[in-house]
Amino acid sequence: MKRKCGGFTLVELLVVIAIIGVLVGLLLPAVQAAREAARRMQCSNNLKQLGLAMHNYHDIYKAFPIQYRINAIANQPLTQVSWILGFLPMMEQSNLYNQWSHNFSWNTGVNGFQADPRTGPDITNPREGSNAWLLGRGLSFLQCPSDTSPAVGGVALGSRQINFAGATGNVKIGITNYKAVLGANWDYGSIQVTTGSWGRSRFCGDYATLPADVKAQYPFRCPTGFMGRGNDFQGIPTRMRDITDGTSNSLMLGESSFSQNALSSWFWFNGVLATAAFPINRRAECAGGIGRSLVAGWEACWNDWPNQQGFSSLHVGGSQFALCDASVHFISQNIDLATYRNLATIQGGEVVAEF
Amino acid sequence: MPRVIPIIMILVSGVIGCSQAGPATAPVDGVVSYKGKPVPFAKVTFIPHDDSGGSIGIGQTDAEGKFTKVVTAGLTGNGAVVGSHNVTVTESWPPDKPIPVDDMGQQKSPPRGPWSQKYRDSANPALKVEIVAGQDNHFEFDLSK
Repeated sequence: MKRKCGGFTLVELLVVIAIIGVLVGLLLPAVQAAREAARRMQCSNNLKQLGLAMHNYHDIYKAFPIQYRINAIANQPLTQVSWILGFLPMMEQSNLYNQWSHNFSWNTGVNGFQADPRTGPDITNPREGSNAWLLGRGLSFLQCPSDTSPAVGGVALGSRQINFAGATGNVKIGITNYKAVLGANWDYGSIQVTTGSWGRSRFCGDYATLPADVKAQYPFRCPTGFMGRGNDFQGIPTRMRDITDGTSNSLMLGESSFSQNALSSWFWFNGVLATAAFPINRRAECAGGIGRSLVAGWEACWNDWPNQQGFSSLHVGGSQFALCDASVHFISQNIDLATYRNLATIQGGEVVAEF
Repeated sequence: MPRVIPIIMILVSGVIGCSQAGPATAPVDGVVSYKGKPVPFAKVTFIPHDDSGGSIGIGQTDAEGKFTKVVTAGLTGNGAVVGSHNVTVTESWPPDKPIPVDDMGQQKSPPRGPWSQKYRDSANPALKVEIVAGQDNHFEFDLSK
């Protein structure tokens, strides 16, 4: 009998389809994970660029950028701004930096500081080129693509709406996912780290002996890490020689999910710092956040900064950091808390374990 | 007929799996004082020891330093997870007034209370309590020492 050629039996077809089905089933989850891997890589690239820009800044100015400065002379301009603002030219944002006027406040001039006349009559809709307009720019190199948390007020990713003093309505601000390491000390809320090498700052004496006004701003005025304002409001910069623990043993920048903290505004001095006193991805600790998932809890407690000014990310299981030598590392949220805090100090003198 | 029995067993096991309840809770109330005076508008946090696996509970004192309700995950009423807890007492703002904000609209931290740091610290808490099932748990926290 002559056998027919070129055909498949039904069984053969079914077997082939089943095999293809199994292979696709294996592939699909892997593809989804690859997308997150790509986002994480872009995120780590952003951190690397920021770290290198820090080093460029140090090469030019012989110091890392200052964080906060109040002019001590009455009626002189206030430059109460973040390290990111002074650092913009290093990230090829000179145009934005040049537009910013340090002679004026960014708001409507509360607390005795002069309002920016370029803003126009309505601060909720500021004119292009004014300080209030500039601070609403979302900058792509400050945003981690993994962080998809909805901005408060429901505006586009990279900015959020806030209602600051002197404004009648909401104002758009640009946000940052990358924050400088304040250190390992903290004394607000239920995290108290004030003693030993984690709490001893080069700017301040023993915690117990601090005057009340310094104590009220202890972690910011007595930072133990890479970035802080120093203890006299003049914004004392960190220099490379200050990092006596070694640049490869000290954290410089880290990630912070902007659902977690009230104000992750890139231009505002309190929006660009986080502390390693908190474990990475610490759960929210306010009544409204109880019983929610990790990220939903952060969003519910977004104003509870005394309990959540730590580092966090939406990557699975940890957060990325740039060390002071500008190398980028992923640090697990299960890292030994002591090791993590040892890494955060720049003059702690600790022996840092493998991480 | 014998074929039906395993199917019924699978269905029944599913029902059993679904009916599992959360951790046991018990109602909690109490008073917080410092040197004989009430501590108003403080946040009282009950942190269960890690092995119990339960949610934290949060209460807030009123103007007389009393708290009558502790909020815990999965529980609509008052209560905290049964077992041993660390307790921290930290400052918070009164619930009925607008919270002061700085220039940027960020809430200011509440003014620091006079009590010692050891009552705030969740890592080395001075207050440890045991919450017992089937009864009202009343605590009087004295932060004077």
